[in-house]
Amino acid sequence: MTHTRDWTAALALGIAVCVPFHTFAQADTNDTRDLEKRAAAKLAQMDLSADNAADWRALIATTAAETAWERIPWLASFHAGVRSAAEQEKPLLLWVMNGHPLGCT
Amino acid sequence: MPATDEVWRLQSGDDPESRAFQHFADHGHYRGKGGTRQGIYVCTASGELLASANTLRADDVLKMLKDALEKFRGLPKSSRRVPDWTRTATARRWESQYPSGGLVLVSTNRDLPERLDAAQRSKGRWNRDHVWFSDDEARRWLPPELRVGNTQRVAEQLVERLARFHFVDNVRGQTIPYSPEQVRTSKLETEITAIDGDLIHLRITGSTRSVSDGAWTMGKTIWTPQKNPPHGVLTRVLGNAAYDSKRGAFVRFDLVAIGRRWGATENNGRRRDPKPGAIGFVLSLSPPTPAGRVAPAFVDLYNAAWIVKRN
Repeated sequence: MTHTRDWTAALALGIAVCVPFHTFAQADTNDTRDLEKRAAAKLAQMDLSADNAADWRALIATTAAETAWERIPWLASFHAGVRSAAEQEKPLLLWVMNGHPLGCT
Repeated sequence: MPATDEVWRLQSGDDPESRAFQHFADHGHYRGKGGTRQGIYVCTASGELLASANTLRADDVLKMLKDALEKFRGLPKSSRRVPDWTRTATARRWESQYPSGGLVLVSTNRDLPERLDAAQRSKGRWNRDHVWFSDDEARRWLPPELRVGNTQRVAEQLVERLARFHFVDNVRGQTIPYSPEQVRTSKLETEITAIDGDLIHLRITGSTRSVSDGAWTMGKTIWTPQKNPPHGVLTRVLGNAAYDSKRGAFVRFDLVAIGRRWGATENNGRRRDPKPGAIGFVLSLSPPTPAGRVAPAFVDLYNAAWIVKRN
């Protein structure tokens, strides 16, 4: 009798613990689907056509001011920089980031 | 002599080039070994550090450069010689696999306002990347038969490359790619709109869907996140391109994608502001310059058999 009561109590405790987790996971999945649905609805309201593609492009593309640093003739590697600095007897100015600065950072 | 490079490889590598970088960087503004080495350094060819900083303030950088130049002028000629490590083979770079003759694009990724306002002057933050397609893959953007009106569903592999690795939210910082199953319903189509001698004019249309519920299924990589909240990007795509059938190469490529993004990834700068928003992408031909040859961010995971992956 005691054994059965202990087993039943353990089962009840397990259910009490697991059901909220299941509900939480289900809510997470629902949240993700909901986010996507809302994004899709918003996207449907955004117009992209031959008539306005150039305007969108102008808004996204970089300006000369934003890319002024590109007018510096950067060599694209530390190795190339060291060799050129030695050949031209100049100090090396080296700019490094996570992600290549001339690419995605 | 201005040069720029990716720091993760240099600060953590064990090859001669990386060790040469660490030799002076460890004495720079971070004062010690380990951790990031992002920043601006001035050094001699022989590896003597003259100055360093990690700052966005132009005046501070200018002062640093002037001080470094002053120090350089006082150094012996021996500090200007080519160091021995540059004479040995360097670690293989992804740029050595640049697809010459292929379709190489530069992408600009930017936060957008909720509505298009052609008069709007101020722009949101932006980031950049490069996109690589081999010459064989470039040809697969076109219908097999070159006739006005013919259409082509762009190969799943090529659309997948854009949806997994490029239509991503990296506007505020590096992000992570999507797995193949997370972009499955993405599709692009091309249509030949005109043929002008050797030039084949195309219109590109389509949409992409990149959605992650937080699962990471690509195994252990340098991109594997410790935390991965749900995130996604949906886009609508419209573009024009011109392919020179005699040269076998695109001579013009102009693609716009507008979309919606939501969620955050570990390093993409959205954790404090994960509110969904509008995002845009422009893809155009990358110039054949040193800058234009920089490899795509996710080249190590690219779905391209012609790219030899490192161990």
